[in-house]
Amino acid sequence: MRGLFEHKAWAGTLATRLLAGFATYAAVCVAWVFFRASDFTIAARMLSGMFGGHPHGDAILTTREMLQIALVTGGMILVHWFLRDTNIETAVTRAPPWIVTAAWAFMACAIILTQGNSNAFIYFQF
Amino acid sequence: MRSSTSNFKRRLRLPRLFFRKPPEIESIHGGPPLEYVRPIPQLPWRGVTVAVVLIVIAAASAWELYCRSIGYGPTLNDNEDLWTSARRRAKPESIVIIGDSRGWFDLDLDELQKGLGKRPVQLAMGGGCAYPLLADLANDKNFHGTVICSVVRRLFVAPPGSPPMDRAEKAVRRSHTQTLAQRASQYLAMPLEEHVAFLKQEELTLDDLLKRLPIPNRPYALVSPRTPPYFGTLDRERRARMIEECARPGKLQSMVQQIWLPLFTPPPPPSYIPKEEFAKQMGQAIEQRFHDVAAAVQKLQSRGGKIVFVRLPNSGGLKALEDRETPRAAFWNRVIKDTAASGIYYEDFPDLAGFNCPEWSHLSAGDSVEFSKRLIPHLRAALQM
Repeated sequence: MRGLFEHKAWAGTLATRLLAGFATYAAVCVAWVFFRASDFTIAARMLSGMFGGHPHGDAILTTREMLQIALVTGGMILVHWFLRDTNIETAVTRAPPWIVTAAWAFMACAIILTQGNSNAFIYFQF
Repeated sequence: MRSSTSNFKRRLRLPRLFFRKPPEIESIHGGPPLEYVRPIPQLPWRGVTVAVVLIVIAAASAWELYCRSIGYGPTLNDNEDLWTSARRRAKPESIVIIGDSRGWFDLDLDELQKGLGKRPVQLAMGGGCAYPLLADLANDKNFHGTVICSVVRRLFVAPPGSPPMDRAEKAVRRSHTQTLAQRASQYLAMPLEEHVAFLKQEELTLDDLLKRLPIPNRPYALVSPRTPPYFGTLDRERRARMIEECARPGKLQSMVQQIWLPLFTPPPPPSYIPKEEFAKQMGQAIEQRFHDVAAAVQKLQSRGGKIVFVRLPNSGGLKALEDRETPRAAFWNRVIKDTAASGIYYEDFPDLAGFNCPEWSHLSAGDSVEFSKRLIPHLRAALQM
């Protein structure tokens, strides 16, 4: 892979970077299915659905859930994009203190409002 | 003398690589993680921390005051850990209450203790199926006490995988697998939940608040009906009491009444399976449940345990719906016949039949005390006490 991309002029263009980002995201989404599904049958069913295998399946998601997923996913991709050539420490150093204060307070309030129950973190549930 | 760190290293038998001093090339910032020091951004952290703490305290206090102003009060959340703490109190000869939210709201532990001589353990759960709890007690070889089982047909025969079964099974599973951390978390949460009104795990969480956004759904979307808002409190013994605002006519009362109707209406069959096939599978699942309940009752009775099924009051539009959808002859009579256990159907007794459920499904806190008092002679007769 490195040989394919390294020192190539086209590798640094916006189109290539967008395409590469999308390919990485798609690969991670496919890998997540196996990570989360309880067995291969369920994983296969889920993957088939992701590639249009259930065109007449029941609509079990609310519009609010779909919007929420789209917003969170879009936000995460945006953050990754901005931090592609820098890191969080640099971004925090450059931000004015009131922005850091507001972000920190917002996150703390969101944690309080989320009211986590006593479920263990997903990595500890295997 | 060797240091304890050296002993530790030797015992671990890790390669020298883990403990050697990194050469200059590895010490460069951003190099391998052997010597990665995370730079701390230059910011007035003390001031930022104080400001964040003040903002969070102010926001949490404002949210608490707002929640109280619109009728919320502090109460415990009913979750698997609280249920587990009650399950742990059940001794071999205890009296336990299982079933749905009617057993939870309508039966007063003080009155039952006075009348039956023992303080019952409250194991009923809102929107839960009785069977997993009954099976758990039947499989508990030490248990040979008395079970008072509230029966609501739609919950009692809820098929595997449905929310009522999931809820009950999760609680039973937690009681067998609870970790020390989960137990400690419950003990830490209780004093907080007893004093803070906005800690409502099924109503005032961020996700629940987002659900209230008025975003229209697709016309064919299969969206589960909403569950009732806060209308009762719960104490450490899991005794539920209806709040006054719901017991008197008003907006909350009529809202809860109208929420029961879709919740007690069967959902449409799924589209991926033919209707006839689905009806056949549901019929088989219900038959299986009757069979399983009868087997669990027999197991319990074979060890000297006792069980009485109780049908607790309902009223208004919900009673009309339940009587129409789940007629007594087809269900209640079958439970009693199959299990050969005692049953108390509130409508059969004039002293129990006159109660009105303000929100159609549960008795008010005051009425639950009087109802329990009147129920005792019937329980004693049914249990031959």
